[in-house]
Amino acid sequence: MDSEFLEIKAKSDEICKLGECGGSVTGILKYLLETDLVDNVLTIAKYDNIYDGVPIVIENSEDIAKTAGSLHCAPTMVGNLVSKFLNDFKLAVVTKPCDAMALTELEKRNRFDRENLYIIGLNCGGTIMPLSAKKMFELFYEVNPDDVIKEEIDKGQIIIELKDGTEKGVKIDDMEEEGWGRRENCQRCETMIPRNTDIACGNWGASDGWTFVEILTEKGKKLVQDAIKAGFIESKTPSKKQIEIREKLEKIMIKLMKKSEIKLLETEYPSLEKWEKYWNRCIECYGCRDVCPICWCNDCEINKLNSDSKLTPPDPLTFQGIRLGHMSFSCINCGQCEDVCPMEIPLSRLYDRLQKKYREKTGYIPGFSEELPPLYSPENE
Amino acid sequence: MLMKHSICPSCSVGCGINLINHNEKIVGTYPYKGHHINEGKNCLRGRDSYKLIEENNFSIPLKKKQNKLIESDWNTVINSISEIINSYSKDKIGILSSGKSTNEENEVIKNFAEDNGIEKIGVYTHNFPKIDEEIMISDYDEVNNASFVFIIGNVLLENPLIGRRIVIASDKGTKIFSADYTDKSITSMNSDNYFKFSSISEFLSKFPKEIEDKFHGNSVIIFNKLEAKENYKEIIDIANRNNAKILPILPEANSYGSMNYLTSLDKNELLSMISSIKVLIIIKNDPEDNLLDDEINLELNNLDYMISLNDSFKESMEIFDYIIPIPSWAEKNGSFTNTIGELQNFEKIIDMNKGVFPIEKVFDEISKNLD
Repeated sequence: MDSEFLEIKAKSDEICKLGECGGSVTGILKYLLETDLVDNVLTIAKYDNIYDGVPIVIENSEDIAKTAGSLHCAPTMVGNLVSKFLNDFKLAVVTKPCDAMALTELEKRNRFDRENLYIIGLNCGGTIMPLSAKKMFELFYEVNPDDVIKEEIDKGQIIIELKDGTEKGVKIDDMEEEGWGRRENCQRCETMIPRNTDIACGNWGASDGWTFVEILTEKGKKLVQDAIKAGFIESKTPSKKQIEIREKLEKIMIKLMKKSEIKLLETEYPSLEKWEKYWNRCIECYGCRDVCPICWCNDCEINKLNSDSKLTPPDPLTFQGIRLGHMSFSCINCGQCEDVCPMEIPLSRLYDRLQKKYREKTGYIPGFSEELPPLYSPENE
Repeated sequence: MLMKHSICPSCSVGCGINLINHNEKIVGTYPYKGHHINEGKNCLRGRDSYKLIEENNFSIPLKKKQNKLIESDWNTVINSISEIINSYSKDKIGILSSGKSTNEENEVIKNFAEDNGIEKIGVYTHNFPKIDEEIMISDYDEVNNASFVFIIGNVLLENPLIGRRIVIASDKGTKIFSADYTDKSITSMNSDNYFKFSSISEFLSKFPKEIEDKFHGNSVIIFNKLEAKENYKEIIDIANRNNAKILPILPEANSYGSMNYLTSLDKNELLSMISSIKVLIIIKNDPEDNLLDDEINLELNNLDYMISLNDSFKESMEIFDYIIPIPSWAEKNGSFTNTIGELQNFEKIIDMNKGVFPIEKVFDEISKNLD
């Protein structure tokens, strides 16, 4: 279907105050749970503080409120949680664009039944590693990171709110030029609006206290309409100007992304000597494979390498070669492999770069193309 | 599905890890990216740590009959163990804990021994002595920013989340020197200079001048193996004369904490303790995993009884006469103290199986029957 645009917010004043931009996502999730359209909701919630977001499964509508609000210092991935543990449930999952891309790739590999899933997308300007965020708040904002109670990304700035109610903002660009800011893969991500979901929600172009929603599927359209009818959310139509503002913001972000992409994947891409140094560190922990939301073969080819001694690193041509050959075509640039590598190997740059070269030749866009990548072999699956 | 923070039990670094409880079973781990030590990075051993709970779980006490361990029941085993303890003089009974036991468990073990007059008690820490708090211990961030790092052992492979800090330092241009028994290792391959030795003691007694000359600024000596307690003192001497800090990486998650309650035993002290007793109560020690040593195993053969309290059962434990199941770290609230002395509390992730009792209950029941 063609996209439709709406502004929505929660009808309940209480939820409105709790959530980001009018608590519309919280309202929709409450509707889904209370009408038994889903058994569970998978989303992210604060564990201890704003630097500590973890995936959480909510069964009862009254618990939804604790998941309200956005968390940018939580570089989580929920794709593999859905396919491994929650594929038997009727589920609503709240996703960043990379989560949604992982879900699309997994759906193509029959890892769950899309019919059972409501995918509520959140626009995303990128995530920050929690410890980096703390250091950034000390260095650039000159505040005690423990005093930060809220953060948001808006108009090219990361804005923080302190315990005493004051707000401070610093331009993301300024911090990223000095090697801080968002995770590198987020800096090269072009998908800020997850158009591979049922609805994509965000604050770009939205009126104060409202969420701007792009409705992307018939399922999403029915969900929003029914939630309005049932009195969980209310809606209004955004003006042409609001739609244009949103488009403009997206274009600016994509332009910024292109700059980072050239820097990270071309001009500052590690040399062959550097890669040799990185491969010498590989301790064969399989962290990159195990965290990859695309990798799920029951019988992984890497296990057959059977390296008898871990005293020396594996041959990258076989170890990483198998990974490259098997999943790099579908790499969604979520950056999880790099996040979890104990040896600080910039793996995501390698996979993302290869995917983008492959995309140039085949037009295959992981997370969006409806078919599987050309040459995809389901041999072990 | 419920995700909860925990501490990795696989070595003493103290990495954070999220454990996934799905239908009251731990089914996997998830990166804990907000943890100050490892930022969501874990090694394979750490990520697999939860598997031990499911794979080797047992909840029925075992006793040996005709050289085979068979399932028994709580009362029979508690009564038999009490009778055994009553039939020997206290100086013939020893207790050996491990760095896998939590601080709380070690306190219970210590109190049980004191209340019952058992003096031969300790923890096998693979030749590491109690860490002297007066000594300049490097914290982890100091490794990232060190001006020179000298390593004994294959730290990159065996303690990768310290290894990570070494490679970060190396990327900044810090010189890395290392030494070990092997011809080659991941650590040696990532060092600017490598020294192969056949004995740590000999190596330290003739410490190479080319290493000594490299110490400057904020240097750190990192080591994860020792042959004897004296090696620790020798390393401290080298650090002191070069104004360097040390980072001893102890063998097990709570080796540091266990030494706050129990005497640390090196191999010779352990052998001497075993040779002087007839009954050994052995807690969270796996002969295959942390007692793997022919000499120690040989000495164990001379005992009349070996009574094990353990959170998992493996074939290597067939040498024990009685085994009582106790909870693993994920089945009870507790704490570890990591290798730099940081107290790390963790919460229960899943309930203990029916039939499993905490160590305090086991010792309470035994104590009631003692003369």
